Amino acid sequence: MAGIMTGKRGLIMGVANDRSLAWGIAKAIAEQGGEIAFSFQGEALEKRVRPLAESLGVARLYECDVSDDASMDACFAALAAEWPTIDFLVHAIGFSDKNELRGRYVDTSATNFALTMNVSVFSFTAVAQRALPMMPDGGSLLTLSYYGAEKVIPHYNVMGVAKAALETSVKYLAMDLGPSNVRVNAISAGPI
Amino acid sequence: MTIEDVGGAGVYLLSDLASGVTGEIHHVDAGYNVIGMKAEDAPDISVA
Repeated sequence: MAGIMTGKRGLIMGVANDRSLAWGIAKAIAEQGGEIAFSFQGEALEKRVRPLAESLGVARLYECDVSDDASMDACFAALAAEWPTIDFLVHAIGFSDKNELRGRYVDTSATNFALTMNVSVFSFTAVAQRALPMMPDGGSLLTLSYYGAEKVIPHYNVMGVAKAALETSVKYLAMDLGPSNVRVNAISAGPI
Repeated sequence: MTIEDVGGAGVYLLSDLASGVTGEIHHVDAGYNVIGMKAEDAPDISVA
């Protein structure tokens, strides 16, 4: 079907199931004529993403662990082997120790702070580094945030701090990549 | 909110319709973030 994404193709990272925000975005892209590849982390998620991908007629799925440079490089190399250039990328990835997403922020451990920031914040920058060379004519990067970045939401804790950093990294990336005609934005979604 | 609400905003930001938009944190929250104090007769807002 022709639409506003006709002629565009790109990667969606982090669909977990049919309630994922990234899945809502994937469906909208497909409805508007865009071509999609998905990345997933681990076998358990692959089992959930594969049937969803197939329902959109998507055959390209790549394993990608954003906390592992080698895995990231392999994922983007595999994608580039089929699609040397892409037009868009959706980053819907975040992680924190669930035990620290209850109780108080002040009790956050150094280990989980670093893990949460690496997976939920730096991964978007790491993805941008690899997507940029694949967007010679420009493109659009999108990540997902939440109101907990701006205001205190009970139990969101270190993830709120991470989303604040993610939102700020969107602004710095937008400045850096603007001259390459690559746009960088975030959606701050309300509760589903 | 639904994932379709987010999908619509997402596909806009990814498309050329948003060619002038970058560095933006785009709220898709039915206006939740602009509320300073809820109306006295409003139902309680649940935050998941």
